[in-house]
Amino acid sequence: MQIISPLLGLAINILSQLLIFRLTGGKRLLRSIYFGFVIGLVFVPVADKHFFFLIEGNEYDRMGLLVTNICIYAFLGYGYFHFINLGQTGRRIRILIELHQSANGLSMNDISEKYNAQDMVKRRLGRLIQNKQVIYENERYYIKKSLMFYITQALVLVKNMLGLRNKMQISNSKSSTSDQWR
Amino acid sequence: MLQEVHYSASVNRGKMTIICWGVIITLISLVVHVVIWRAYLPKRHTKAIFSIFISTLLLFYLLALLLPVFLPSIAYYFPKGILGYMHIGLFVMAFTVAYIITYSAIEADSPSMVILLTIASAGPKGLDRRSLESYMSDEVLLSPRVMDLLRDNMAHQVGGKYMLLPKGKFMAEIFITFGKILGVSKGG
Repeated sequence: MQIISPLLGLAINILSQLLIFRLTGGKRLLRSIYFGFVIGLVFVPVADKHFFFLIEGNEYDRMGLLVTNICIYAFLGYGYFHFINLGQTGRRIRILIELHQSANGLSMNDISEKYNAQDMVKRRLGRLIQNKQVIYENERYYIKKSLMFYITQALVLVKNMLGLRNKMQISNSKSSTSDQWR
Repeated sequence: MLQEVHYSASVNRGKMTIICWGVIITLISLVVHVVIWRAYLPKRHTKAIFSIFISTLLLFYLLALLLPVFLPSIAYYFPKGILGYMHIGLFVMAFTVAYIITYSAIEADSPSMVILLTIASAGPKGLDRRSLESYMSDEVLLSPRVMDLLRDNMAHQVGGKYMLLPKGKFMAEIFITFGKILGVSKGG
């Protein structure tokens, strides 16, 4: 019984998120994900405390169990957030969907017509400006050092630690040819 | 009274050991992952990461089974009953899923990440639109992702066109179905 509460928490997270998103007219995806996560997070300790009182042990045991289940729920909830995120922003997923919807396959040019770099940049820039992570003033873009920016820096560090090459490393030189890309 | 204390102490170990072992197995897996990546980058990253985590978990199960046979006192440090081991497995697997998802974003150079870094590298004077767009072409953003699908056996090339393989169809159907449930567009 003790392993069920984080799984049930995830189920409640998903159902709450879908319901909230539908009730808000499909406009508040990120907010629905956050609320769904919080609702699931509240459920987990409530379930551990009230529905699984049959678990033997004392308060020390229950604390250990609670911490474990909250961690498991957090990992699963994070996974669900990224599952939605992938569906919305993942390039590979978008290409898969385009290929799925084409009975005879697509060439690289066909794929590029349906979904190209300019589309990607436009969408993402729009989101970054809307979320105030990038500022657009006097026809120039400026960075706002937000949480997202620091997360990005941290991911670059992790990548370096793993020995993965940054495929799109920007050099400080003003070269416009592709040789600046590693 | 003494029996109650002994029972309580053994149960104490049972419940706290779950998170302790979960964290230890996860940390060992991460260290092995970093060491392997620095020595030799596997071809299929996701599969390799999953293999590392599952192998470490299975090795733990094997040790938990065999060690108490030779050292009975060590059983004190392991969970009691099969549920405890399932709980540890759930902890490790949940972390593995979360990590693999994060890793795919690290590996694939998310365009949002690149946009942020590109603008940041321009410094206080900022960056104009044309310069930003010149850095982000199909060759950089699109082609490598198509190659990823070929490498992961989700698609293949037939006479100059790309077509989905069963694995790719299945993956696409999951996201299309979920998109319909959610009521959102294709995204990208």
